[in-house]
Amino acid sequence: MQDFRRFLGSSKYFVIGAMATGIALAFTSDVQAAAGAGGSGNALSAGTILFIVIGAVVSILYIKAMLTVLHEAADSYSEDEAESAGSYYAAPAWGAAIAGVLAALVIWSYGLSPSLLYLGPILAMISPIAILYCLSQDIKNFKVAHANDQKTSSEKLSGLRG
Amino acid sequence: MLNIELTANPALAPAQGVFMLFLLGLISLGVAFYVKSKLVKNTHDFIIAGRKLGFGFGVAGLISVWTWAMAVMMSAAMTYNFGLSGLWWFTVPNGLAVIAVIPFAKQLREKMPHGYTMGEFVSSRFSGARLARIVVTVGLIFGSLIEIIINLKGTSLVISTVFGMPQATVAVIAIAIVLVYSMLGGLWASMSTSTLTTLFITVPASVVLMAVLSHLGGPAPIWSAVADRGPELLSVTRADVPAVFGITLALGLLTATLAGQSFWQVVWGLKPKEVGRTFLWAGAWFYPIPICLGILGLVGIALNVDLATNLGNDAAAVGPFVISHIGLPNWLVYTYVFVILSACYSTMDGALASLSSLAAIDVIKPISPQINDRKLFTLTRASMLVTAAIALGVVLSGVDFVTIVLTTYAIRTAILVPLMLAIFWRKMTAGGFIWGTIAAIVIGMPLRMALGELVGTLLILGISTVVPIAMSISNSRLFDYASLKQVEDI
Repeated sequence: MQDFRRFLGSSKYFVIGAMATGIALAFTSDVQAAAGAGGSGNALSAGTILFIVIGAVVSILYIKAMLTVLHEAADSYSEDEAESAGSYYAAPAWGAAIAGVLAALVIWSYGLSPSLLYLGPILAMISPIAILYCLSQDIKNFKVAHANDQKTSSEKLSGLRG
Repeated sequence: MLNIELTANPALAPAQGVFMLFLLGLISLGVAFYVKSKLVKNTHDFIIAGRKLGFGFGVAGLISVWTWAMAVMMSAAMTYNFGLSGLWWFTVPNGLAVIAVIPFAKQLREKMPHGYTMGEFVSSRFSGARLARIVVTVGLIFGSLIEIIINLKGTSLVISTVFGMPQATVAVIAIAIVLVYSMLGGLWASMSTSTLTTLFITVPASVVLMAVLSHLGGPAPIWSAVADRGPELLSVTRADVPAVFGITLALGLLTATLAGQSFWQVVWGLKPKEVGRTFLWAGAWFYPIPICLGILGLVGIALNVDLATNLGNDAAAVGPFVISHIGLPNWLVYTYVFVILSACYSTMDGALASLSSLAAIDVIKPISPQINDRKLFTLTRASMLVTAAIALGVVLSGVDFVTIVLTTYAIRTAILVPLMLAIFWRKMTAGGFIWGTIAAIVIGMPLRMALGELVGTLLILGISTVVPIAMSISNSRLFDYASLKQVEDI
């Protein structure tokens, strides 16, 4: 939880703001009136509002992570990264098979029950969360590389002193 | 039973369309400015991002580049035409086509770490064989050009339909915006803005679909209405779909990734160890986009949207039609348009970036090997301008670009197997590569026109497989892939 708070930093106020905006939007009378104009339901249902709030939070974290990666890339622009450093991350064939099979199963499941149609919007919301994880891996790698650099330079300095 | 009156939203004006075009453009421009000032110092940075693209930008960028504006609409169109079988055959091969690049990408990234383009690889692999390089480069250039034309055309159609704007105005504004930010930062700008547009595609798509389901009283009435129209529409096992479009589409998607510079540019732009998992994650997390937006096709079926009277005989319009005719609040219509615009911009900037690398490495450098970096940088950027002008000219002139599509298709399909063989088969010869490709185009294309898409495509692939193997099987001079390491950065 502390890691998450640290990651949020000052953007926690934006997260709170986004949630408040989503809730306020839900109770705005003219939007609700417009929503009910043509359809039999309300476009701005509790489910939609929940998705707006989650979407706002995900967006803030995503943009924050993206900007962090850009800053880190710019900061390490002149650093020469050895191309052969580290082995290739695995991309197992079973991973590809699972992805294909899961996608096929989700589409197949649409035909089983109406409520499974919600899987589409839910997965679309999870997709940027998965990318958020990828961006966090990059940030972690930058931090590890910087920590190693600092360690190496302090060792060099102590060697000079000795 | 769904009881919705389908009426156009009268409140959508052209000014709002222009505002949306510029809004996304300004956001992208801001990112591109930052990238240009911090990360782009020379041609190498511009066309290959200094080979420093990471996991996150790689995954998000690839998803966005692969999500064409038409793909956003086609997932709904295929569902509308064929029910869930259409969505299944549209979606599953799409992600797998990205994942299929992995073994080839890892092999080339490892064996030729300083590469830029497939034309350069073919030239190095076959001891400078000029004809082979020209054929591959022409195929890749046409491929990128057609990506821009199709996306520009698709976006002009959607924005002009929804906001009542002239198509020409939309096309000019859209290409000008994408051109400006692409010329600023090249591949870095493309991947950074595409990372952002992936967010602009997924989250809004999710919210819009939730709102549509809620607006129509939940998924149950939609599902029941579709079931009433025929139970086969809710099944993924319709036997006619693979033959009608499924298999041809799957093969076409494979050629688009394996013989597409937009993907190879990313392969060589990524940090080496990230190549495999980036393509795996990109393929896997691309899936939710068509899976989510395909639901609009079911809504179209449920609402009895008529192909001729409502959609002008173009099923691709079903998504925009549903969104703008069921009485949703305006901000949800804007949100959906934003999804399409994001898909359009990201694919066009990816194509422009890939064309700049082709121009620098396969056109300018071979013609003028001693050119200094400053001049190369200027000409590389100018190549984007020329490409954008050609694409805009094609769209504005209203000429039928079927010929460009067919030429691109012919070359890409014909070079697919020879390229795969060249990457992995040490016996493969330059003669096998060139004659396999030429025979597939010269014999295969007329047969495709006479016998239809499916048989024709399989014949092109068959010819381009048999000829290279027959011509190379007896070759005793095995290629040493380690020699590809001699290729240097520009």
